[in-house]
Formats: sequence, C-alpha cells, structure tokens
Amino acid sequence: MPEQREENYWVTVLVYFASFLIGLGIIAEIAFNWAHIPNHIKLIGAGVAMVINALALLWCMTGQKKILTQVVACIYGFLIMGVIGLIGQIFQLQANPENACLLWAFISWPLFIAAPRLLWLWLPMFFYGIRYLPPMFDEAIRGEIFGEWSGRADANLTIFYRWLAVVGSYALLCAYEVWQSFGSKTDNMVRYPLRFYSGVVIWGLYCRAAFYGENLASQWGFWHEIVVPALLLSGIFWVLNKKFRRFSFMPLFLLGLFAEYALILTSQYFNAAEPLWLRKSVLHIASTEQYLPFVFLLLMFAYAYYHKMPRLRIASIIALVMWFIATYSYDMFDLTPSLMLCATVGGCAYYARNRKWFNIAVIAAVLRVLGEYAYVDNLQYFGLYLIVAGVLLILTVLFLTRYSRKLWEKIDEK
Amino acid sequence: MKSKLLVPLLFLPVIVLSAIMLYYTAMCRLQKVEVVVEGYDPKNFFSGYYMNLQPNWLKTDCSQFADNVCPKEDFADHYNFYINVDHSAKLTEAVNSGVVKLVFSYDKGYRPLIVDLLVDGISYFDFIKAE
Repeated sequence: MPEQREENYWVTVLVYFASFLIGLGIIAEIAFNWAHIPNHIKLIGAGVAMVINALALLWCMTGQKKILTQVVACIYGFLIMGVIGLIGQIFQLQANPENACLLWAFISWPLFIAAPRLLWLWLPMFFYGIRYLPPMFDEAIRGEIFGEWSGRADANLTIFYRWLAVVGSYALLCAYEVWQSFGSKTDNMVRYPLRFYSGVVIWGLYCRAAFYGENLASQWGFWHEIVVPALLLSGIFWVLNKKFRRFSFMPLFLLGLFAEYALILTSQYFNAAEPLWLRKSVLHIASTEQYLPFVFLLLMFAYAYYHKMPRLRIASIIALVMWFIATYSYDMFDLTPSLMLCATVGGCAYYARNRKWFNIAVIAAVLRVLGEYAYVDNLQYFGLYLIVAGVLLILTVLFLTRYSRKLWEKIDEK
Repeated sequence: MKSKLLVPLLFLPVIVLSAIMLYYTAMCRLQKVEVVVEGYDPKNFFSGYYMNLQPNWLKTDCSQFADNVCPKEDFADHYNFYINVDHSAKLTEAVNSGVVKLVFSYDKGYRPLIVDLLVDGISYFDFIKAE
C-alpha cells in the first residue's frame, strides 16, 4: 500500500508538470496570434474557456477521476493566470506580473480543495508574486514620512490599506494557529486556505528582508511592524502549542524572521566590518539558486541517515562530492554533471530498493533534459515545443508506470 | 454542505474576473482625452513588448479638461503600452518622427485608462495596416 501511494505521488507530480507545459504551450500559441483576434472575442473566449474548465473540473470531481481532476485543476489555474494577463493587456492596465500573481492567489484558492497537492507545486510562483508586497509597503512608507503624497487625495486611503494589510497579515497567522488548536482537523475547506495564506504572509515578510534588507533598519515601522509582533506572536504560539501538545513550525518561522531582521540590523551597526554578502541583503537570488541543490542533497543525506538506509546514505555522499567537483569543473547547471548526479542517485536508490528516490532522480533527469532544449526564439515553435514536451511527458509516465513494475520485480527477485 | 459550497467556490475565479472585465469595459466608456506622449523603450519579454511612453504636457491641449487645466497629478509619469513584437520597428519610427497621442478614458475621480494610441491622428492599429 505505501509503495502504491509513493508511485501515485510521483506520477501526479509528473502529470502536473506535463499539464503545466501544455497549458503554457497553449498560452504561447494564443500569444503568437494575438494581434489578429478582436478584443471582445478574446474576452468572451476567455470567459467561456473558464466556465468549460470549471464544469470539467466539477465533472471530474464528482466522477472520482483523481488524476484527471488534478490535471484539469492545474490547467484551470493556468487559465486563470492567462485571463488575468489578458485583461491587463486588453485594457492596458499599468500592472506588473507580481500584481497578477497576487490576484491569482486571492481568487484561485478553491482549486486546492480539488487538488491539495497543487499548493506545493505552485509555491515558487507565489514566491515571485509576493515580491510585490515589500515595494508596496515601502512606497506607502515613503508617501507617509516624506510627504510625497501630501497633495494627493488618496494618501490617507493608501495608508489605511497599508495598516489593514499589516494587521490583516498577523490576524491571518493567529487565525491559522487558533484553527490548528481548536478547529476540525478534517475540514480542509478552512484549513487549506488558512495554511496557504499564512504561508504567503510568512514568505512575504521573509522576502521583505531578502530583497530589501539594505535599507530596512532606517525604515519607519521596522520595529513595531515586524520585530515586536514576530517576537510576541512566536511566544504566544509557543505557549498555545505547548498547552495543546502540538508541534507547529509557526513559532520557529517567526523567530527565524526576528533573527533575520536582527542580523540585518546588527550588520548595519557594524558597517565597516561586515562581509559583502551581509551588507546587501541576507538572501541573494543567485546564491539561493546555487545553494538550493546543495541543501537538497544534504536533506537527502539526512533522510537516508535518519531512516537507516546505508546505501542511499553512500549515494548522497557521492552526489555531494560530485556536486562539489562539478561547481569547480563545469558550469553549475551544465547538463552533464546534472545528469550524472541524477544517474548516481537513481542507480543507488534502485539497488537500495528505494522507489521514492529513484523516481525523484528520474523526474529530475527528465526535467533537466527538457529544460536544456527549451530555448526557442520563435513563440509559435516554442508553444508547439511545450505542447509536444507535455504530451511526451505524459506518455513517458504511462510507459514508466507499467515498465517500472517489471523493473522492481527484477530487483526484488534478487 | 461541502458539495453545495464547491460549485460557487470553483466558479469564484469566473465571477471575479468577469466582474473585472465588466468594470473595465464600463470604464472605457468615460470621456475620451488625448495626451501627447514621447519616448520609446522596448522591454520586458514576460508580456511581449511594451512601449514606454511619457506624457508631454507642454504639447497637450488642456482645453479638453475641466477649467482648461491639465490634471497632471491624476496621470502617471510614464505608461507602458502593449504592442505586438512584429510592429515594434514601425511604431518606433513613428514615435520618433510623428506626433503620437495616448487616448485615455478619463473623468475626475477615476484612474485614467488607456484605450488607444494615435499616430498622426489615426489609431496605431490602422496605422500599421496602412503601412
């Protein structure tokens, strides 16, 4: 039974990715023929497509078609994002992609009821989307302190929205914790959105530090908006968790947030002696990209160690060494070392009879190869490439799910 | 109870986005004003190509506004106008040489909404076709 569950898990992940590619391909194809379609037809077409997709999702859900439900939910999510972009372009709205991601977050959460795992697949997108929050706050601060909006009628209203956002964010975190302690554990309808938006708020606060760390200490509202509430809430949540004998990451998150901000503040006080990486911001995008695979491998090693899996432990050590060498010998994201890593992990996981890590290695290899050939200049061909890649991926999944049984039967016989 | 709630929840994006579409369609029916613009900067692959245009209030006819005063504070410092990548070269040339105006749907108390781009008095779409 657990093996079956594991298999379903990686099949689902791949199918999500394939539907993502197909959805993106369709968007690219529509974008290519953009100018030739009248605006009202575009809007009506978008509305009709959404209604059809929602109906298809309902049909899949009532018909207990699990995989198809997740695929349709995934396509629906991308369609919603596409329609947001469409509205922005037709009406020439002066909005940015971060705006679009935030609107998407606020209207598409019901999809998580249909396919809860979508939450984890789409988090990177939200990570990008909530980058909009820090500049929004900063802009409001500038207007408030330096009087840039003194002549504007909407200044007070914007300040009011800002405070509403700050208070609302912390209220959401409290609501999530209170629900975790007192609410029904089976009512996902409330639990999922609460968990999701609490995550968005936490990431938003972290991003503020990550992308705008440089000037934080000098900003008005630094202490009473971030530092004091983070400390206070982590204490309250810790007491709440202890009382109900429950473990939550929330107090740790908030304490981590406090530590991150304290680090920035301290670094600014010791300006002369601070290292360069600390001076600009705590997290750099480039270093995040570099260290993520490394952290991932370390986690893998910890997993193997914790579950007493000696072969996988060795595999992870080999992978770590190869990663280390690869950073010196090749470009970090070159195809060869990446595939070698995948092959090593996959091979060792196979002989350790660990299906989950074997599947992860296969997925990583497939994604890496697809990524390598994704750069096509012409939008029409790029759209076609994405659709074909998505279809091929689904066919590969179908093939592998049948073939892998024989593969595992062979190793089980030994 | 759950299944009864599910239907409206799944249609939430349709309802919200339809409301936004209707709102902006209605906003496009406000008074039309023409603001002279200049400057061009093709950028941002994420959403195709945009023309980065700055209002030139010195050349704009302020008599089209109330009290013959251009409400500069209601307008942004610059606007992004979406165009198809194939037309970028022609429009670059037009913006650099001719008189280009952004047509806004505008009324006091509302945010100006771009409805068209005029190149030498004709809509940019017709201008491209004519070229």
